[in-house]
Amino acid sequence: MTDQAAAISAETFRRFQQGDEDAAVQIVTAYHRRLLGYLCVQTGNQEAADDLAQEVFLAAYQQRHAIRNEKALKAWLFTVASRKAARSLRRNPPIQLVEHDDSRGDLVASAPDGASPPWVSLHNTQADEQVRQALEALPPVDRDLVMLRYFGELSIKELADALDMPMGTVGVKLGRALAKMKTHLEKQGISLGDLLA
Amino acid sequence: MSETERDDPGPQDEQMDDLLRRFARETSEAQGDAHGDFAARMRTRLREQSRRPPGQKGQVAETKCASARRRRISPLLLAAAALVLVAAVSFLMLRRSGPAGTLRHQVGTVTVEGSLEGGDLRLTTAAAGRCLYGLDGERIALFLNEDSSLVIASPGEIQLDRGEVWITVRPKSGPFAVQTAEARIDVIGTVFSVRLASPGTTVMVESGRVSVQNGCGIVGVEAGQAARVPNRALEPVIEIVENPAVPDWAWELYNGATGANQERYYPSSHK
Repeated sequence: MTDQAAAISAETFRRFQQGDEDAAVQIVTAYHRRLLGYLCVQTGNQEAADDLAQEVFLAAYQQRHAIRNEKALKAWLFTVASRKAARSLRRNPPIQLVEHDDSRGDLVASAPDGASPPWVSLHNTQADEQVRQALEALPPVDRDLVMLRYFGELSIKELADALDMPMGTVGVKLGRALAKMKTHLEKQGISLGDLLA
Repeated sequence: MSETERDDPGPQDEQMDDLLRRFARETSEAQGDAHGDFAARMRTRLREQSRRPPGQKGQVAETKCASARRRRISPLLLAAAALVLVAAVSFLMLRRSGPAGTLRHQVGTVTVEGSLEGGDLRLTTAAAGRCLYGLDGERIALFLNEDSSLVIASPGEIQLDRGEVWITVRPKSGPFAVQTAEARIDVIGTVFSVRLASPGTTVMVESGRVSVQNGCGIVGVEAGQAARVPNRALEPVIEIVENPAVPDWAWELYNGATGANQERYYPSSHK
C-alpha cells in the first residue's frame, strides 16, 4: 500500500526505547494521522480522538520497554487505541447532535431518532460517507477488525496476535465483514464501481 | 499493506478492499488539517513525560504519590504554579429563566452536543470561541474559554475535559461538583468561582469554600486561595492568590448575555 505510515527504523526504535524524545516524536509523526483517523471513526468525535491518540502515544512512551521491537510497534499502538476507544464509548456513548439556533438563543434538537451517527459530520466525500454507513452497520467486533486492518494496516498475523484469534479465524471473519458491508451497500442501491470511480 | 502481509489470504473482494483502503487513506489524510498541531503538542507532552522516571512495564509514574510529594515541594514547580494562577470572582446574578440549561451568549464557534435530558450535554468551543451557559435555572453560570470542552453530566456536576471554565454558583444552592482528569472539586460554602485549566487543574475560590481532592489527598480551599493539581499523582497544593481579577473574555460574555455595558468587574462591588 503506497499510503501506509512510514516505517520506523530499528535505530529509531532503539533510541525511542532509550527515552529519546526526538525518536518518540518521529513515531508520533509516522503514525498519528492513521491513529487519529481510526479513533475519529470509532468514536465519532474529533476531540475524543485527539485525546485518546495522545493517551496512546504517552502510554507507548511510558511502556516502551514492553514493546518488543519496531515491527510490533504499529500493532501495539492500534491495539491500545482499540481498547481505549471501546472504553471511551462505554463511558460516553455517542450522543445526539444538537445545533444552536442563534436567533432564539437556545438549543434546537436537529437529529431525530435514527438519524446519522455523530461521525457523519466528519465525512469528506459522499463515497466516504457511504463506507462509513456500511461500517456502522457492522457488529462492533467486525467493525473493529475492519478498522484495524485498513487504518492500522495490520496484517492477518498481526490482527490474530492482537485479537488473540487463529489466523484462519481472522481471515474468515474479515471476509465475512467485507461481504456484509458489500451487501449493505448493494441494498442501498450503491454500486462499488461508482464508489471507486 | 506491510511486508508481513505477503502470507495473507488476501482480500476476498478486491473492490471492497480498494474502497476501504481509500476510505482509510482519505480519512487519515484529513486528520492533518483537523489536528494540525498534534505532533507539536505531543512533543510538549513527551518532554514532560521524559522528565519523569523511565517507565518500565507496569511502572507508571503518575500513580506514585511518593514521587509526587517530592515534586510538590520543588520551588521551581511552585514558582511555575504561581505564574499560571489567576484570580477569580463571583460576579453573576443572571436572571432566573425556565429551562434547565441555556446557552446565553456565544462568541465564535460553539458546539453543543447531546441534551441534559439525555444525561450528557457537551459544550465545546473552537480556537476563537467562547460561551456563557446558564445551568439549573441559571443558579450556575459556566464561562467557557477558547478551545475548551466540558460535559454537563447533571445540573449538579460537570466534567472539564479540556481548556478553562469559570463557574459561579449562587448562594444556598444544592451540591455542585467539577470533575477533571486530575481532581474533583466540590462546593462546600456559598458563592464561589473557580478556574480550571488543563492539563493540570487550578482551582481559585473568590468567596465561599470548595474541597479539592484526588487519589493522593483532599484540601479545603478558602476565598482568596487557589489549589493546583498538576496531575493525579500530586496532592493538591494550596497557594495564596493576590489581586484576583476577572479576565476580559469572561466579562465580555457577561455583558453580552445581560446587555450590561460595564468595562470591568470588581469583586468588591458585587454583593
